Amino acid sequence: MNIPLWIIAATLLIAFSFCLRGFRTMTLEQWSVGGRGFGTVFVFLLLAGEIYTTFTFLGGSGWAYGRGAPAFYIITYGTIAYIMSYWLLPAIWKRGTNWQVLSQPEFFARAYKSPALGKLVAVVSIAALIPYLVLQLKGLGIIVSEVSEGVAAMTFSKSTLATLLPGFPHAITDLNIGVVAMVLNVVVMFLVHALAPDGQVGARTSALPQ
Amino acid sequence: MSEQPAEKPATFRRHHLLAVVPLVALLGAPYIANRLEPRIFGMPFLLGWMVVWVLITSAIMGIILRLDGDQ
Repeated sequence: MNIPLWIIAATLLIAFSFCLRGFRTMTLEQWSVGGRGFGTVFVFLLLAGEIYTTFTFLGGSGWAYGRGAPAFYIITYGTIAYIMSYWLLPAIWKRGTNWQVLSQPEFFARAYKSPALGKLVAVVSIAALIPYLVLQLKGLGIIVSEVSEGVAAMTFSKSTLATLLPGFPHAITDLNIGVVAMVLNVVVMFLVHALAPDGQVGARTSALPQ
Repeated sequence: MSEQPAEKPATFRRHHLLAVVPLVALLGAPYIANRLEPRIFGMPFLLGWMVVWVLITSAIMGIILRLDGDQ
């Protein structure tokens, strides 16, 4: 086993142990929004982790290789999103806490006093999230299979899926898969890139089944 | 569930207009900075322009936060 594989295994183990520890004391509020007790630093780290999706590492660079300069739009829209969120996010945070809501559908149902709108938001969220989730898992699978030189290819996708399944309703209702997948993603990506010998990561990309 | 009084909407203050500056700089980049030279840290000027503006945006939002006080 090479070093990246050990890191991946350790990350998965830690994630699992957190899951197991959490199961004992978990209420719905604990599980979906961390009991509303996340500090500023933790939320910041989560948001930072959210940015580094599979798209950032594979999709973004793929765009840049394939299309060239038009891919720079990613930098622009990300920055503009942050400008808007300065006004948007505190407002959502305040209302969410005030109303004690746990999910996006609940938020909309409460904000517009329309349970029907809440149901619509729930259906759209699920429909939009499934392809996204598949894409993330596939991307993660490719990253890990590259890094492990094909050793972990098949097993990893399945084990990631197993890690994420307990968080699936969470994903649908709230913060999307960020908490587990993105943190895992970032940790694996950075460590692996730091440790891999030159040219090892991505060397086999062309040999991947499309 | 007890009804909380409605939030008062975020009030507009003049220094919020600062946030328009990066918007113009970034969205206007194809018109203002669509050049290869001079290169910034080896990046083409357009890309360098965007990267520099990401940093300036952070600074501007920091200034807005400071001026807003403890919102």
